[in-house]
Amino acid sequence: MKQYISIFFALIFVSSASWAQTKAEADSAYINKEYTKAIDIYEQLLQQGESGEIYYNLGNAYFKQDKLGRAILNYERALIIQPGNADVSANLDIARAKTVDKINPNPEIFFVAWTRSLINSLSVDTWGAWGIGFFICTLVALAIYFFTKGVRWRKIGFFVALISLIISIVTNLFAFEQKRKIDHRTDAIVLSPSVTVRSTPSDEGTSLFVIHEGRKVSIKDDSMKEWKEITLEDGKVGWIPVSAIEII
Amino acid sequence: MLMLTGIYAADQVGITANAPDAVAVGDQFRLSFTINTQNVRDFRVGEIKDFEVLMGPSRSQQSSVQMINGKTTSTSSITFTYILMANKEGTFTIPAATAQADGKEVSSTPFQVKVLPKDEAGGIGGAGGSTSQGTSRNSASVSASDLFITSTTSKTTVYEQEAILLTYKIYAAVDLRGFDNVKLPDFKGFQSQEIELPDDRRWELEHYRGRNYRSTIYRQFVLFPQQTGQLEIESARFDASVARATEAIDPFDAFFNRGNTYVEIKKTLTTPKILVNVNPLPSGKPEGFTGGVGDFSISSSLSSNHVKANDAVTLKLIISGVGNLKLIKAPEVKFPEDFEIYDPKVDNQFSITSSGLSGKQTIEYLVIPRNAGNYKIPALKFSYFDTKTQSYKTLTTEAYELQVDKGDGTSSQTIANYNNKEDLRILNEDIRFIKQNDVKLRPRGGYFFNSLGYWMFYLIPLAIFVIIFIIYRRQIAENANVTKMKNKKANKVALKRMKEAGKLLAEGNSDQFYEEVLKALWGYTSDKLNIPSSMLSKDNIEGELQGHQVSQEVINEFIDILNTCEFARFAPGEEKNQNMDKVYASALDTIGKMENTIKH
Repeated sequence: MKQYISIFFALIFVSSASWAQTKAEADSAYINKEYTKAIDIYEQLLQQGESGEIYYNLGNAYFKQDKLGRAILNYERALIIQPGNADVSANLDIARAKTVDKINPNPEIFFVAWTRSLINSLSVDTWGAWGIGFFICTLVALAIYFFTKGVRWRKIGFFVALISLIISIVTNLFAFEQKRKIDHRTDAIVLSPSVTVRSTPSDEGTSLFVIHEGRKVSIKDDSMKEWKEITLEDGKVGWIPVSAIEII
Repeated sequence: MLMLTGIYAADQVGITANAPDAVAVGDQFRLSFTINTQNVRDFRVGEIKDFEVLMGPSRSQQSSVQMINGKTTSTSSITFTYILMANKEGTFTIPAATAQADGKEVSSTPFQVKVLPKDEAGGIGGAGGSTSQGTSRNSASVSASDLFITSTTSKTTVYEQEAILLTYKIYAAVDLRGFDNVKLPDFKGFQSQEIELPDDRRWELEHYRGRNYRSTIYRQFVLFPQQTGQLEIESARFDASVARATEAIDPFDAFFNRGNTYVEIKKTLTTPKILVNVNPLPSGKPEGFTGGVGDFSISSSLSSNHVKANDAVTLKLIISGVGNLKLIKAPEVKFPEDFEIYDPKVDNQFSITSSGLSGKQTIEYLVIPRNAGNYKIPALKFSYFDTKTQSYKTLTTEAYELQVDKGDGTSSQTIANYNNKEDLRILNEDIRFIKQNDVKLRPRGGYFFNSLGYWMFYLIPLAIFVIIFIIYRRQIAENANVTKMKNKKANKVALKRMKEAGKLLAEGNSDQFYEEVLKALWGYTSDKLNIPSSMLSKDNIEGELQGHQVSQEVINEFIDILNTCEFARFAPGEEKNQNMDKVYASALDTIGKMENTIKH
C-alpha cells in the first residue's frame, strides 16, 4: 500500500515537473523568436488544462506572427480567467487597434458600464473567496452581537453582521455572473481574414456587410451546425459560416 | 598723396560722352567729353560732319579733395565741351573720342543723336538746356495739344489668355509738375499685371503729330483677357498740375524772379476708351491642355528611380517660357494606383515683360510608393496654344521607370493597417512581454466557486455557529433582554428580604407573616435610603422616596401595602388568610421596582 502511494506521488511530481519544464521551453522559444515552436508547446499545454498566463503568452506568440485573430482570441480567453489583468487588456487593445474594422460600440448607461467593469475586475473564484470572507465576517459579528453585554458592542455587531451579509450576497451574485460567462460563452472571434455576413444561413443569402479578422461577435442563434447568427456591438445581425469564427 | 590719387584714378580712367538723345532741327546743344584724370594728352575727336560746330572744344578742369576719417581722396577730371547745332533731320552718329590719359589710350563709344523736324508751332523746352517755353505764353490755360496722355495696346485682336501690353504715355509741351487723383480703369475681363518701370524716368524728346514733345512712359500693364468677345478698356483719368510762367508786371517781382512768375494750373486729362477683340481659342483642344497660352518649353526630372517602399519620390516639372505662366494649372500626372499622391507644390519664378510673364514655373509632385514593385510613371503631356503660329502645340516629357524595394520591416504593414484609423497614437507601441512564471494548469471548468468545497466554506462555519448558539442559548436569551436581567436582580434582593415572610406564608401563620412583611419593607427602605429605621415613619417616607426619584405610582403602592399589613394584623382570621398571597406578591413587585429605580 505504502509503495503505491509513493508511486502515485512520484507520478504527480513528474507530471507537474514536465508541465513546468515545457512552459519554460516555450517561453525560451518565444524569447528566441521561434514563435511557431512556442505556439505548438503552448497549445499542447492547453490541451491538458487552462491557465491565464499560457493563454496570454500564446496570444503574444500569435501576435508576433501577425495572426491577429488568434492573438485576440487567446487574449480574450486569458481575460476570462484573469479578468482585470492589465497586461492582457493592454495587449488586447494593441491587437484590436491593428485590426481592420473600426469598432464603435453602442454607448452604455454609466452605471451599467460601472457595474460591468466592477464585475470584470475580479475572477469568479476571487469573488467567491470574498463572499466566504464576508460570510464568516457576518458570523463573527453575529457572535459579538449575541455574546456581549455592552449595548455599544451589540450595536456594532448587529450592523457589521448586516452589511457583511449584504456584501457576501452581492459578491456571490458577481461570482455567479462570472461563472455564467465562462459556462455560456457566446462571444466569438473572427479568424478568417475577411468574412461576408449574409442575411440567411447559406452562401446564396444577400451579403449584408463584411467583417475582418480579429472582430469580436456575439452568437445569437447557436442552433445550426454550419452557420451561426451573430450580432455586432452596434446591433447589426447576420449569419456567418462557423468555420470563420472560433468561440472564446 | 599724389601716388594714391594715381592708384585710385588708374583703375577707372575713361572717356564719357554726354549729349541729348534727340534734338530738333535748328536747336543748339552741348556735347561734352569727360576724362576722369588731369593727365591727358592728345585728345582727339573724329570729324563731326553732321552737325555745325558753333564752339569748341573748350577745356575745363575740375578737381575735388575729400577727407573722410583722416583718409584723403581726390578726384579730378577734364571736360572738353562743344556746342553744336543740328541742321538737318535724321539720326546721326557722334564719333568716338580718343585720348592718352595717364599714359594709356582711352576712347569713348560712339553714340547716336536723333534730329527731329522743326516744331511747327515753335520751340519747346528742350533737353539741351535751352529754355524756350511753349506757344501760348500769355494764356492761363493749357490746351489739349500742349499736354496729353495716350493709351495704346500692343494688339487689338488677340486670343483668350494672350498677353496685351497697355502703355500710358505722357506728352508734354509745358512744364508738368505732377499728377494727382489718378484713376485707372479696373480692367474688367482681364487679369492685369503692372510692369515695374525704373524710378529714374527719362524724358525724351519726341516728334508727335508735327510737334516736338517731351515724352515718357507713365505706366505699363500686361493684360491677359479672361473672357472672349469685345472687351473694353475704360478711360483713365489724370489730374495734372502744370507750372506756367507769366510775364511779371511788378518790376520788383521781375527783378527777383528774373522776369518770370510761375502759376500752377490744374488740368484733367482723360484717355480714350480702347476696344479689344478677344477671340476664343480655336476648337480641338488637345489632351493635356491646361490653359497655357504663349510660348513654352518643359523639362522634367525624377528625384530617384530606385527607392524603398514608404520613401518619398519627387517628380519635378519645369515649365519655362513666355505667356500666361501664372494661370497655368499643374498638369495631372498619372501615377500608379497604390501610390500616395500629395498636392503638387508650385513655385513661380517669373518677371513681367511686355509680351507677358516670362520665367519658369516649377511644379513638384510628391508621391510615396506604399508597396514594393516595378512601376512606370507615364510620360507627361503638356499642351499649350502657341500665339505665334496660332495653333496648339503638345510637349512630352520622358516616361520614368521606378523600382521600389521592400521597405524596412513592418512599417509598410503598420501604415497600411492604420490607414483607415483615426488614431495613430500607438504606431510604435509593442505588446507587453510574456509571463515566465511557473503556472499550475487546472482542468477546464474546474472552478472553486459553486463547488462542494465552496459551499462547505459556508456550511461548516454556519454549523459551528449554530452549535455554539445552541450551547449558550440561555445566556443569549438572557443577554437578549436587558430589562429582564435587571428585574431579576431586583427580585433577588426582594426575595432575600422576604425570605422569612415566604416561609411564614407557606406555614399559614398570618399574624407573624404581616409583621414580617412590614419589617422587611421598613428594613429595605432604611438600608436603601441610608436612613435609620427609627427615623422613618409613614409620614416622612413619601417625601424621602420622592427625593430618590421613585415614581408616585410605586410610592402609592408601597404605602398601600404598609396600610394593608397594619390593617390585616388586627382584622378577623378569614380575611387575613385570603390576602396573604396578594400582599406577598405585590410587596415583592414593589421592592423589585424600587430596586430598579433607586440608584446609588
